Amino acid sequence: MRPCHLILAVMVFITLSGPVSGALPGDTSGNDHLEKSELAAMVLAALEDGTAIQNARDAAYVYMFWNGSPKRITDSSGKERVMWRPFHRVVVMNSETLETMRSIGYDTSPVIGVDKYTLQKNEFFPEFSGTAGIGSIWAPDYEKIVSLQPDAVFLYATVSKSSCDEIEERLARTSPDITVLRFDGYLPETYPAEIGVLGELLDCQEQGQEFREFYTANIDAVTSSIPAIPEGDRVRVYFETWTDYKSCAEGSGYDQKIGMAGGSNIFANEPAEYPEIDPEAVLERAPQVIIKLIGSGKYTFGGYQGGDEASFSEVYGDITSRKGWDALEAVRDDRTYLLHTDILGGPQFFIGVQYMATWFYPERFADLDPAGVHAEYLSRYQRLQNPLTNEQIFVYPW
Amino acid sequence: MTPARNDGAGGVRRLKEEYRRFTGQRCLFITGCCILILVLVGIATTLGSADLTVGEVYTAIAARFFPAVAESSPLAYTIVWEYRLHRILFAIAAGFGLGVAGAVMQSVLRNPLASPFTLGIAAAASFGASLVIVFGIGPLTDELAVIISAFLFTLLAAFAIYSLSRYRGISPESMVLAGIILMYLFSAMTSFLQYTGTTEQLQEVVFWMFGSLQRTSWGKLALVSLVIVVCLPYILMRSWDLNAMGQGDQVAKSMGVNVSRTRTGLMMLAALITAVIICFTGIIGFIGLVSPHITRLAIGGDNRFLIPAAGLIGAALLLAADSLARTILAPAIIPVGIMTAFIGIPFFLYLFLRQREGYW
Amino acid sequence: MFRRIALRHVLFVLALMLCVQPLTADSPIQRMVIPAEGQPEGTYQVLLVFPPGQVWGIRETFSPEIEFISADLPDNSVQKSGSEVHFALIGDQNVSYIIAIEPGNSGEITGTCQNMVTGVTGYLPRAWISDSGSIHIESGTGEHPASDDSAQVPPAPLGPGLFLIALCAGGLLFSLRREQQ
Repeated sequence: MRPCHLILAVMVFITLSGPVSGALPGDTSGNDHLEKSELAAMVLAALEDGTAIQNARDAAYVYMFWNGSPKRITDSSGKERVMWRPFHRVVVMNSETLETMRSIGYDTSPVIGVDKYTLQKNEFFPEFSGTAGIGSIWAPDYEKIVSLQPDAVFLYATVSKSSCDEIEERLARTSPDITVLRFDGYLPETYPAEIGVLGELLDCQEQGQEFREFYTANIDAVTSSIPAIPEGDRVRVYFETWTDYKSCAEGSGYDQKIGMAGGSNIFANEPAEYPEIDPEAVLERAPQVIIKLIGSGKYTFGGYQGGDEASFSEVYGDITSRKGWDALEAVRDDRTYLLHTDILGGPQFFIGVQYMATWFYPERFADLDPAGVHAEYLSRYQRLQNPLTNEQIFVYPW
Repeated sequence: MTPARNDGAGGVRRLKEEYRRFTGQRCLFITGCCILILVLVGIATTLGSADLTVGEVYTAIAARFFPAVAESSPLAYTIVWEYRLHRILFAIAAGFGLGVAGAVMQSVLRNPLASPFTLGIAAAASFGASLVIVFGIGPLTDELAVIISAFLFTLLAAFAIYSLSRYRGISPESMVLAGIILMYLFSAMTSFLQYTGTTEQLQEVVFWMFGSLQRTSWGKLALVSLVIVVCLPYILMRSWDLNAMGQGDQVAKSMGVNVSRTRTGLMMLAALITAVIICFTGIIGFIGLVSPHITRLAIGGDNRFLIPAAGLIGAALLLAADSLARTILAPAIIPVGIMTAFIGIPFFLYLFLRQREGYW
Repeated sequence: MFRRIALRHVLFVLALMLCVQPLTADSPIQRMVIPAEGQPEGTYQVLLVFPPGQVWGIRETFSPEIEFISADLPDNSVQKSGSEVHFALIGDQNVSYIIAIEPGNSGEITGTCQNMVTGVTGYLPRAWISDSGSIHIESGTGEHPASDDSAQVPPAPLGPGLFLIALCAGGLLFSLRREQQ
C-alpha cells in the first residue's frame, strides 16, 4: 500500500467520523484555514469513498465562498458565533427570523423544524406546513429538536430572554455540535442591523442589502417627516388591543410604533405596559384617532388566515356605537380604524406604521401607498405565490 | 376479625396471626407498588417525541454501564440520558416526596383535606417565584434566583404557620387556620405582581405556576433525593407517635409522646421536602392530597406503612401523569400540574359519591 | 491559392469553436485527445476543459490497454485507484494529462465529474482510440442534478470565458499573419 493511500485512508477515516464541531472540514493542519491542498485531499477522498462526499462539498463551499476561513459573526445577543461549514439542517424557533430569511433570499430548504406558531400561520408559511413542529420557545420539545440533529437553532435574542437562555444553555450542555443563533427579527431599533448580519451569515449579502434598503426607505418615508411636527400638534390617539379597554403604554411595542407614525398615545404614561383603562378616561382625553387591534382573542379573524368583511364591519359598528363615543372627534370624523396584528406585530410592522401615518396625517403622507408596499413585500421578498386576496383584510375601512 | 373467645391463649394467638397476615398484606402492597413503579419506569423511558425504538432506549441505558457490550448511537444516548431519564427519576422522587409530605400533614393535622398546598405553602412559593420574575435579583441567573426565592418563601410560610399557631396553641385547627390566612395573603400578593408585570413576565409566572418537569437535571435530582433521604428516617421513626396522636392529643400525651415537638418537627420536615421539590418544578397539586387517601383505602391508617406507601403511590401517580402529559398531545407537552389535577378530580368525585361515613 | 493549412491552425480553430460554446453558465465539459508532441508513438495528451470558477471532482476510467503517465496538476490533486485516476480541480479550468497505449491496441477513456459546490454530477465525453491510432470523441451525456440539496451558487463569471476566446482568436490571427509573411 503506497503511503499516499495510507494518508488518504486516514483522511477518509477522519471525515467518516462525522463533523467535528469547531473545525473546518478537512483542515488537517488545524490552522483554521482551508488550503487548496487540503481541499484537494478532501475531493480525492470523496472520489475514493462516496460517504465522504458531504464533507468534501462543505469544504469546497468554505473554500470558494468563505475564502477558506470559518465565518464569524456577532448575533443580536452580542456573542460571536462561528460557522465551520454551511448549514444543512436548520431549526427556526421564531417565525420573525424565518420571515426575514425569506426576505433576504435565503433558500429555506435546509429548514427542517419550526415552532408551532409558524405552523399555525399556514397561509403565510405554506411551504412549511409539512415541516416538523418543535413546540415553542416557552414549551420547547427538546427531544424533537435533538432528534432532528440540526446544525443550527435560531432563537430570540432579547425577547423572552430567560426562556431562550434556558434553551441555549440546555442545548450547549447536551448537544454542543449545534450552533445557536439569536435574532429578534422585528424590533425597530435592531432590525436593519439584523438584516445585514443575517445576510452575511447565510451568504445572501446582495439581496439582504436590497431588502435592508427597501425596509429602511419605507420606515424613513414616515419617520423622517415626524420630527418636523411640533409636539403640541401631534394627533391624539387611543389604541385598543384585542382585549376591550386594554390599551398600551410606554415600554410596549405598540406605543413605540404609534410614536414612529407621529401619534401621541393618550395613555402613554400609565404604569403598566398594557393597562386596563377606565372607559371614562377615553371620553375625557378626547382622542382624534382610534385604532383597534384585531387578530387575536375575541377578534381572531382577518389577516393572512382570512376573514370576511362582515366581521370587520361588525366590530367597527360595535366600537363606534359605544356609549358616548359619538361625541369623540375620532368617531365623528370617521377616523376610527381597525388594524390587523399581522402588519403591526412582527417584521411587517413598517406596513402598519405607514397605514397609521396616513391616518394621522393624511395630507402630509398623501403619497404613501401602504397597500402597494405590502403587495411588493409579499411578492418580491416573501415570494408568496398568491399575494393578497380579497379575503385577506388587514385594515378597515380601507 | 374473629371475636376473641374465652379461650385466652388461643384467642391471643389468633389475633396475632390475624395481625401478622394483615402486616403481610401491607408489605405485599408496598412491594406491589415498587413493582408498579419499575414497570412504569420501563414504559416511560420509551415514551417521548424522539423516534426511538424500545431497543434503542434500553441499549442506550445499558451503554452507560456496560460500554463494551452495548453500543448506542450518540443521538439515542443523548436523548435518553440528557432528557428522559432524569425527568423520570425526578418524577419518582418528587412524587414520593409529595406523597410522604401529604401523608404526614394529614396525620399531623388529623385533617383529610390537608396537603402541602392547602396550607398556603404553594401560594408562598408562587409569590417567591413571581417576585423574582417581575423584579429580578441582581447578579444571580434568573433560573437560580427563582428557585432560591421559591424555596425561601415556602420555608417562610411554614415558619409563619408555626409562629401563628404557637400563639394560639399548636393544635391542628390553629395550624389549618394559619395556613388559610397565609394562602389568601400570598395569593393576593401574587395576583398583584401579575397585574403590574409585563405580558412576558405574566406568561412566565403562569407557566411556572402550572408545574412542570421540563427543567429537571441530574443535579436537581440529586439535591431532592438527598433531602428526602435525610428527612425520611426521622419521619418514619416518629410514625408510631403519629399513630398515637391520631387518637387525640390527650391520649398521645398520656402515652408519653411530646405532641407539640413532634407536630412541629414533622410539619417542618414536610414543608422542607415540599419546598425543595416545588422550587424546581412549580406547583404540582393533588399528589400530596390524593396518594394518602388511595393508600389509606388499601392498607388502612397505620402511619408506619401509610407514609412510605403513600410516597410510593405518589411516585407512581406523578410518573404516570408526566408520561401522559408528554404523550397525549405530542409534540405539545402539557404541564404536569394540569395533568395531576385531571387525575385527582375523578378520584375525588369517586370518594365523594362513595357511601361511607367519614373520610378517615 | 490555398496556402498550406498546418495542423496547428486546425487545432486553434477547433479550440476557438469549442471555447465559444461553453460561455453560458452551465456549459458542457469538453474533452480533447491529441497525440503528445515530441513523445513516442502511442502517447497521447488528454485535455479536459471545464466551466471556470468551480471545484470539480473528476474520475477517469481507462480500459486495460491504456496506461496513465502523468498529469499537469500538483501531486496532491491526483490519485490513482485501480483502473481509475481521480483529479481534484480547484478554481482552474483545465486538466491535461498524458496516457500511453501500445501501437496497434485500442483503448477507451470514460469519466464522470461532480461539481463539489452545486453537487451536480455529469458524464465526461467518452474517448475511443482505435488500433489504427484514430481518435473518436463522443459528446457528453449532459449533467444531471445530484439527489441532495445544492448549495446556493453565484452565477459563473463570464470574464474568463471571454478572455479565452480572445486568446484563441489572437493566436489564430497571429499564426495566420506569420504564414502570410
